[in-house]
Amino acid sequence: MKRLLALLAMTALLGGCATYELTGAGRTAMIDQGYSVELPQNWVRLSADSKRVIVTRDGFGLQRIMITRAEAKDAFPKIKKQADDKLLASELAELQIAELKSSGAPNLTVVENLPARIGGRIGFRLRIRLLNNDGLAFDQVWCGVLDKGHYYLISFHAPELYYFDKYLPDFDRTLASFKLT
Amino acid sequence: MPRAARVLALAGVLACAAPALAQPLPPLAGGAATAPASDEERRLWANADEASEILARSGRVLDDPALTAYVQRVADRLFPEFKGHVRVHILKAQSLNAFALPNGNIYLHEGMLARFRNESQLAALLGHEGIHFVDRHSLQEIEHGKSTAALGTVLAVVGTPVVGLAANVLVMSSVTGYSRELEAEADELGYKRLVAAGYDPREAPKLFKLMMDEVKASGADEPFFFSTHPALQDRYDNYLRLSKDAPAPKEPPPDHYLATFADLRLASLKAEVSMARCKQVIALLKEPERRSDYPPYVDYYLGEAYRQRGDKGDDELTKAAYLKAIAAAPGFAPAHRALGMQLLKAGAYDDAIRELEKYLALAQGASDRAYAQMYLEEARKRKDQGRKGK
Repeated sequence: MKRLLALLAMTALLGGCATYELTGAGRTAMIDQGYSVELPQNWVRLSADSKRVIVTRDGFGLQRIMITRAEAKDAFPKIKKQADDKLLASELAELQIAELKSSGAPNLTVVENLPARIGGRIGFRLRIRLLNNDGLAFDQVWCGVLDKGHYYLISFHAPELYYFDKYLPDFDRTLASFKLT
Repeated sequence: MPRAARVLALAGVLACAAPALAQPLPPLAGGAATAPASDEERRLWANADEASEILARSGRVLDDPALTAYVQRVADRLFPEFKGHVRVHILKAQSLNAFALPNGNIYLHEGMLARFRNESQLAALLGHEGIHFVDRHSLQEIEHGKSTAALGTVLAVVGTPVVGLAANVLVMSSVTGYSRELEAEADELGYKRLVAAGYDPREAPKLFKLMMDEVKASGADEPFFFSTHPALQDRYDNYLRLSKDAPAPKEPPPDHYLATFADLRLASLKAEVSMARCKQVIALLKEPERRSDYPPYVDYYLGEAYRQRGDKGDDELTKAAYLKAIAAAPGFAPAHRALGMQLLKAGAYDDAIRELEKYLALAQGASDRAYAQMYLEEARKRKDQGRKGK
């Protein structure tokens, strides 16, 4: 009941500027974006955004999974760097960290930085931590991979307290289901 | 009334009062008599106090008593009669910035501190900033109706939660607005303080020259500190003129700057590399003299910057820098990893295997061992494939 009320409140608050839909079973194909993925069921998807996948269960500030694709040449706009197939996975991760630091999080902490297989290709998996002004930690996982001139990013954002660990398995299932098409 | 609204209201009051206040302002008296002299100035100080508190609560002020005490000692040497009134703080930020609030609080960014090579350069900047306070430049600007620079500083700080770069930009971009005349006055009077305190005045233009080189190399806008009048070039010209024919000080104070700030300077360099500010790093390190201020393996960071830049010919510069770092400090693991990765990409698998193995042997607890292990296996695999292909 609480969740329904929260969803209704969120929909009422934001309904004027965006549309939402509940996620169902099965794969979500982003044909023009070159991938498909299985999203957690009964989460809320920002359906107005056709270029990205953004889903949450309880609210975008509490947990969200986001999938984006960019042209490799536009992969890192803040630091004005391009991605290319010659980059090793750790170099791609390094650029992603620089991009995040230059995008308003200069004091982020890298908690984990590992190679990862994403959509069948080798990329990276970063876990970073940010503190807000009250010292509350927000953790994010960023998984990135290059394929055919495009840079794919699959990320998970949640407060470290309670939400991150609780919904990380949902993110990991989503990540494991990610397929490049 | 919300805080920002209160400050806005004050801005309005001061703007209306400005035409009635046109008397030349004497500098602050110093000692116990250092206090605001009018209601307007009291309000200005109170807002600056509020801004200072917000900065303190934001977690962005560096909590390092030793470093803070060092910069405070230099400020006290420059402004002995304002001891306890000029208070210096270090902000955790990599930009080339420094600013003074009307209440005497001076903020130096870590990025700025990382550029100083000696105490005289630190003193040159503190002398300049301290004059903004001592000569009441914020109030002068308001009273002459030219600008609300200092108030803008406070407004921006007070009205903005200091949470990230976007907010930081807003705050800091307002910290630069003294008129050209007042900035020049801060140069002149700050220079006098510098000389009187026994520092080497010839160091001041060197600092501004380096900063100009960095700004030019990066293609970025000038740092906020210099973004209005006089521009960085003006500052350099002023200090060059002032220090022309200046002799070396006879009894300069003992200088422990590099040793005291070694960790901060290295951390700042790493932060610059981690933000892919390759052009700034190259501008900073390309001169051998400057590299000598850093640990022997500093060429590794120069190599990383060349690699990040990726211009024609940078592969060779990168490799040369890595090799130099390894020659200077064979036990410095990151240089072996970086060289191994470069050799892997170049198809020199035997050499890549050797360097990556060295890295893994040296960096037992490194967080990126998984990458190095993966690259090592890749190099071995490709080497085998090459052998079978023959």
